[in-house]
Amino acid sequence: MFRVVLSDARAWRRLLDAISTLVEEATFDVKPEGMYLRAMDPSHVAMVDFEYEKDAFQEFECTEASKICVGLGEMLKLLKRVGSGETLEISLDREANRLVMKLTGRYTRRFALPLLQPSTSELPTPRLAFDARVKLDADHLRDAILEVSNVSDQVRFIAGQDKLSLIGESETGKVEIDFERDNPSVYEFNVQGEVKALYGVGFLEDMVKAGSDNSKLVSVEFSTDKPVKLDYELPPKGRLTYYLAPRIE
Amino acid sequence: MKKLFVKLKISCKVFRSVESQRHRKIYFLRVFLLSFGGLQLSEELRWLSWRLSRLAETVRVRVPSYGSLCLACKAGRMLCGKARCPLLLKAEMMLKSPVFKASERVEGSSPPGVFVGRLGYPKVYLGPLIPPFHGDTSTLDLPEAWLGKSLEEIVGLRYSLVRGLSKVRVDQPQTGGKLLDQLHEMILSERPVEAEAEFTRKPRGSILLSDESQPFGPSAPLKTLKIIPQTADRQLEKYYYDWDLKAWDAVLSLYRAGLPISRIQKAFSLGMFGEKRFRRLVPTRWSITAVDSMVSLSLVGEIKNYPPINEYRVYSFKHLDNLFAALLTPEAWEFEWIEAWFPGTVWNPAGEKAEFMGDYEGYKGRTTYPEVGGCYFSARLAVAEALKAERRQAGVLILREIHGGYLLPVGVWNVRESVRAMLKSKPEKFSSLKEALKALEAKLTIRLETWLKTSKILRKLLYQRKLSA
Repeated sequence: MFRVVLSDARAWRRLLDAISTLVEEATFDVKPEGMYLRAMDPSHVAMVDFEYEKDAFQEFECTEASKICVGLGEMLKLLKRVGSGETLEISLDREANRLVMKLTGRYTRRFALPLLQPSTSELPTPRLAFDARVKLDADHLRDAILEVSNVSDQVRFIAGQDKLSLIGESETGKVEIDFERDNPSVYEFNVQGEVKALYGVGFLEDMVKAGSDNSKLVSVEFSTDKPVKLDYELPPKGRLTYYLAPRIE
Repeated sequence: MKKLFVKLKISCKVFRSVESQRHRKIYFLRVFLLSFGGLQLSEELRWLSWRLSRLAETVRVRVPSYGSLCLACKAGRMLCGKARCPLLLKAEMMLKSPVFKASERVEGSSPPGVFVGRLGYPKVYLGPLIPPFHGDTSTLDLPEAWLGKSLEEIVGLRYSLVRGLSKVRVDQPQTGGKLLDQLHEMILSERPVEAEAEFTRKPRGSILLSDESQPFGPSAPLKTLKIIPQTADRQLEKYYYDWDLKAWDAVLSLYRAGLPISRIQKAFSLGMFGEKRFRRLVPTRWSITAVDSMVSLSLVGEIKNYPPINEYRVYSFKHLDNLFAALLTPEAWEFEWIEAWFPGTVWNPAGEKAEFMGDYEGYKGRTTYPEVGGCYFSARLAVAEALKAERRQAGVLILREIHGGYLLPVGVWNVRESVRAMLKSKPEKFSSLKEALKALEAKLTIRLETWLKTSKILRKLLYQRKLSA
């Protein structure tokens, strides 16, 4: 038995958008405690970790743990015309092997889409220790990355005692962005020593765009030449986390 | 007076493109004199026009609006850096070809072939391609059969067809028209079609003073066309009469049925597929890319369901002094195509630094038109085809070095057929990236370090770490 109700269907669509930046098919782990998803992009460079706990839903019924795999493209297509204030009910039709979505708002809409074969591989939580942790305004991080992407296809993260810098450089120019420790858009600043790493801007762009659509705050965590973790909190009880592997020249 | 003005305008453009001060004066004088004397008879073009004197009536020499190095070079100084003067090659082949001596009436067996121009869109020039002789002419317009031919032979093929011209609105396939219906019947035919065309004047051709122009046969406005259609290709016919099926589905079904890309493309350009209210003519040049793009997009979607290859592979292939090399990696689908032009021109005489141009797409594909143009899609098609046959996916990097012996561009079929042939050859296989890159470098004349500046895939392979490792 699985049935959940979300009070804001649009927010759910934005979350699916955020997951679809990395994968085309999503395998959700549904457990009595909530809904979870962990997926890696096909080139194994980026990963998304999504948690939405029981209390985040308006109604949540799940008697046994199971896996639900759906094509995100199809699901997003069906949810394209979702209006504000509409509620979404998701349930399973095991007999027809379908996922049923019921939208209630101005009028009632029911969609059914086929379930796909869930992927069996379990991805472990990356074991990472971070030397830099900076909590920022998500919109400001997004703007910074987009500005860097104008000149370069990679961005250098440098964190020191007093600021976090994002630097992009190529033949077309150089962009340098500083988030000072005492800047109002910086909420927490915790850096040990000088930390430097380089990341491809392609994935980063998609991540910060989707992240800032879903959350106001982001915590950026990284270590020298190690993956970066972008952690977006989804109030009331959820979390969207991205990991991205570094480039080493 | 108006004519004079236009000529002066052209001469000004030539004037602007010339670099040095001293040359400017001489140029201005010369071009000024040219515009009064008429280009055809001028002293300035004697080096070319005396060779073509037997064709003086049918072949016009044109100066491109952006100026021309050829005016200064006169086939003597080799300013374009090519191994031979492309214009002299064209002139020589024109003299050999029967089509430049054709009269107002041409009859022969059409391959079948048609041409849709792109200038003046949405009112374009449309017409049949007819050689002035009979027989099995099917290979005259079938690039799939041209691999391995010499440059002379290929130019000869292009110079064997006379093109009729008739101005038509691109939406005519929705209503039909006499000429269009005849052309449709020609393209439906399985075998060459006997055709007889009458023109309002003798067909004329031209030579553009540029080392980068494709060879084109002569053309003339069409007065009447008579054809004897052959048995229609049943597959093509089925989709031609299906007014409700989308063009996308028709193209893909025909491709799966094994019809050569060039035949699908010809039918596509005549607006023979799709829902009736959307049918339209597509200029030949655009339709080639449209078909390559559609078919490859669909194939790429399929290969993403297959597992990656097991090793690194290096391929190489030479054709018409083009050097192709490919690196296939055991990764998820991604594709990059880079061309290196060895210009060797006045501005880059030593030819040590080639010009690079390339485009990349990741796993999710692309939404913008590639900078390199249509050959990107031709290469993608050839790659996707090979991977599909093997039921595998891979990361694919294809490099093309264009050397001086490639006198003139012959069309994107060169890329499609070369890459197809390359991927059919036996690859060198490696278990490590390092060895594969070494082998790849050995195939090329430009060092890997230089390619690295342009190539996203190479940089990714070398620098991008993974989460799983």
